[in-house]
Amino acid sequence: MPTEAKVYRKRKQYFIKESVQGRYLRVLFVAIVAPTLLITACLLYLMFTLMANQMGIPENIHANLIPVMKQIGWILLFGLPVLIAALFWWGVIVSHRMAGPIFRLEHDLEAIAKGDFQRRIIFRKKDKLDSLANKFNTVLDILTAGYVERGQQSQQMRKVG
Amino acid sequence: MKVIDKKLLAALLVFHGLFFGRSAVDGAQSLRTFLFNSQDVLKKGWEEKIHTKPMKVAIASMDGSSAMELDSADAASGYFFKFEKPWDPNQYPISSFTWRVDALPGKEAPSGAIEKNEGSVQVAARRGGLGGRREEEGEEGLELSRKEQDDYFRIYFITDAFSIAFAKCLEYVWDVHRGVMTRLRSPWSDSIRLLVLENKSSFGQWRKEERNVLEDFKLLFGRTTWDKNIAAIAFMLDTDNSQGKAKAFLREMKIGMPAEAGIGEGKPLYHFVWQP
Repeated sequence: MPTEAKVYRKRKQYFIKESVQGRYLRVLFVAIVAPTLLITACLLYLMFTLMANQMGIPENIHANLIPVMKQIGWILLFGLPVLIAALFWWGVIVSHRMAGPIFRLEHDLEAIAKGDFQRRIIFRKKDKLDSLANKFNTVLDILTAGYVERGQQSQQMRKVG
Repeated sequence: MKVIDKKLLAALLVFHGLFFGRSAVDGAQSLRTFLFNSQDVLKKGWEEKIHTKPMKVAIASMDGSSAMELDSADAASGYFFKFEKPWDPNQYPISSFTWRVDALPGKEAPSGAIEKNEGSVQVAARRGGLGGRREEEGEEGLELSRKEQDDYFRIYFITDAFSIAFAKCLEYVWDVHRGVMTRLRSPWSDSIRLLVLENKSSFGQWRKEERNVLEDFKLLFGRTTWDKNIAAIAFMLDTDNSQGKAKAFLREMKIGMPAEAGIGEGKPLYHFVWQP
């Protein structure tokens, strides 16, 4: 009989399985930050070239466009580090949702291999790999049931014998 | 025979200069020449740039020929011309333009009388050009124009840059009170420098300016050499800061002539009454 399902509720470690999470984190970070910086650079280029050329008269540019650009510069100076830090933290959580189940799966399979047949695989709800865990647990249930049945049969044979 | 020919040629040149008020620049080849005798000239590469409100542009017939009349009332707008290929002022340092102002918004006279600045021009001329004066004064000779009085008839020379926002800009301005050759720093940006060529003492007169743009860039920006090409020119009549009225005329611009065409290195100041 399987033991009562263990429920994992709160993360205590945000960096596990560095080889997997680190790779996911790097990919996520580059996929988010690189386009953000590229779009920012393109917008600045657009404003500095197209808008400045449209305005044409230097006083007009320095009286109207440059103050706006300075404000945007300040917003970017303080906003971008905050945004990048927030994106990094979000990347840590998302990558942990991938690396966490793999870590848990490895850990639980190791315990089962050592003879703890009552152990079952439980992931966090947000990890969204419940179906994988359920299939693993079904296989384990079948294997455990067969193992127990074979054990009982061999005991009966020993008694008869 | 050859001696006679030379004398005759010299006499003809002197006669021509005296009676027709022309200089060597008039016959020189320029990179671009603009004759503002019809509205069509503004359709050939010139772009209207409106800062606050547009000025009125018309063609006026006066003194037997046509010129572009510009009227501005609490407005600020100008026309901008970008060269297909930026040109090197070291190669083509001379430019000339003929302009006239009948009215500019009255300004409170800034510190520094006209007479004082007129005097400094004479001193500069005696020293054989403004280059010598630049060595002595450097950036100190620059006066800061005030935002609320920053209304002039302006002719711009704008250098090539990644964006106009980063370009250096030299403006020849027609002011009211400031003396001729007063050097100004724009209140809007340090990369815009102004040089007063005329003031109210010349109101109502046609003035032809022949400038060594290269020397003026060096003078205004305090440099001994200048390596930036010129990418655009523009003109603007603005009255938005003082909310007044202005009337000005523009007749001709000859942009980019070799040094031999006119006044040469070290003698950038030439301005005289134009004879129609």
